[in-house]
Amino acid sequence: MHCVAVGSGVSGLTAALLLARAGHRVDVLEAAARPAPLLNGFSRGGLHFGTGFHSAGGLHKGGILRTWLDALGILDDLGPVESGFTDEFRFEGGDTFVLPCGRENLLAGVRRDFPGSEAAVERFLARMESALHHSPYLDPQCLDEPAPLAAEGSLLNEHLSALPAPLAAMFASRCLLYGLMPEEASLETYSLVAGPYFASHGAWRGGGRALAAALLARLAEAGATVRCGAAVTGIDAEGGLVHGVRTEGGGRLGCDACVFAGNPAQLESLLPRGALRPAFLHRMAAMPRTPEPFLLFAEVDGAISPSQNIWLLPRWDGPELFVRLGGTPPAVYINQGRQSADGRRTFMAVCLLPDGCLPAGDPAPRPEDYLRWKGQALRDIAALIERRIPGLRGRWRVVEGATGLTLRHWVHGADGSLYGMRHDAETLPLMPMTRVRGLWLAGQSILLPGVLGGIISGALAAGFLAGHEAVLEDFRLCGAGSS
Amino acid sequence: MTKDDTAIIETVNTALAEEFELDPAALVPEADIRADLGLDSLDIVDMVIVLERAFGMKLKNRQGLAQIRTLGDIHAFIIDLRDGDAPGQG
Repeated sequence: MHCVAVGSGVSGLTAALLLARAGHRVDVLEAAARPAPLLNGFSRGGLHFGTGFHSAGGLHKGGILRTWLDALGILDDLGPVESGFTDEFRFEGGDTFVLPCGRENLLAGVRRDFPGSEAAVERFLARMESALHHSPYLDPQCLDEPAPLAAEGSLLNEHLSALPAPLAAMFASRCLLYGLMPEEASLETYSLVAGPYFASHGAWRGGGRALAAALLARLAEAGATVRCGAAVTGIDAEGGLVHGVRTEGGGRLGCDACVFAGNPAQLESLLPRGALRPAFLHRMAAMPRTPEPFLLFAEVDGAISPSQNIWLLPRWDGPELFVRLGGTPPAVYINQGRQSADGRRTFMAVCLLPDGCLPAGDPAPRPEDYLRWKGQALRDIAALIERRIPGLRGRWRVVEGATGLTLRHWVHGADGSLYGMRHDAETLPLMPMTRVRGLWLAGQSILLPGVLGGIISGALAAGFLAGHEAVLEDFRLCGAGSS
Repeated sequence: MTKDDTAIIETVNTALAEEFELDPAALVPEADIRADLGLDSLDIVDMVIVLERAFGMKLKNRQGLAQIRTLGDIHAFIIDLRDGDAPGQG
């Protein structure tokens, strides 16, 4: 079988690698001039800033992400893996808490700050843990066929209400990992996205850049090709069956199957009329998106906190946790990078933008009023950060700002949202299968977002194409060996 | 069958005909959704969403949804929901 993967992010590369390993001929098409632009990030002033990946859950021995990285054969390429990150929460009003990861450390932290709540936290952890056992793509011991993720079930907030309010706010903050407001989240999806971060939280030395490089190296070994500057302009599927992919400039690649890891909202314009039913197209068009971000990149001399992640949140007893930019005070998530040889660290802050505050499309040049607004927003966020983190003034320099508009420009086909379509309690999730034979979907809008979500959606699409047993073989072996 | 029942049946049939490009003549109550109308398990998810939008109410997780086999079952399901949700207003 000749397969084409559209998009060279983590899901497209994962699907391509697993298909190539299963003996199929594979081509990856990427619109950008180089592969995996989001994972690769950018450099300024001698520092490298990650954009697609900062930290992840499930990186301890036997953890789900570590097992997948091992199964893909790239674990050793990523550099030393750390898995003991902590989160520091600074609430408006002065309350500050530190939340460690790992069951025992977390429970010890809870015992220290919230005595009497250990049992409720243990019940919450156990409930989340059980959600991982439903799919063979999440649990190497599960031998069932993959079943659709049910959007049914309970709301996260119902479960968090058993915890002391500041602790509930800290747990709820993990909804930012997939761009949800806590009240929108189901416990089931939260367990899959945020659950692994409770078990362990960390990163590997090389970051997103090393992940992209490792996947590309394994792909080349497996005989697959990656073509950049190859924006896909159409998928030939007359007769309800994929038989080719067309690219900008008039190129065409005949194929038997296509894993589409781009923005699924683009499918309508790529497929022949009638290939997908109006019901499906209308459903995709109406699917809610996650908010667009405002990102601030800076360099800091030394460390600002022993914690890798710092959350500047409104009061924990306030009406809203993720106050968007423009609200008072907006919620800010900060990721502190590893110290470089000269003592500097990267620093990235994320705020959520109110809906509809950016110009449409990817206008060039950027409108004057947008540039003015962006400059002011960058100064406002920097001032807020300096107010909430005393001692930072004079030790840091803001080097870059980015918005959803930047994402749209940087990642071909992105809509500017932080995590694609919303995986909330109300919305039935998009699955990899489509009505067109040979066309499968992957990417963060399918199933789950993030690096883990990208790997799993890519693996699942490959599994439907090449057989689940073949695709899961290494995952099960690595799971049994508890890498 | 009341006038409102007829309106519900019409709304269901119009929505399905448009959203799944079905022949209106095939939309008889005894039509099997899978065998006669050609909808598969993927389409069924989309169908639930089409009906939710047509009637402005949540249908997933409702009792009886999984037992639907024919177009007539869909009509009866929505009529039952209306009667259950708004007693006395049917």
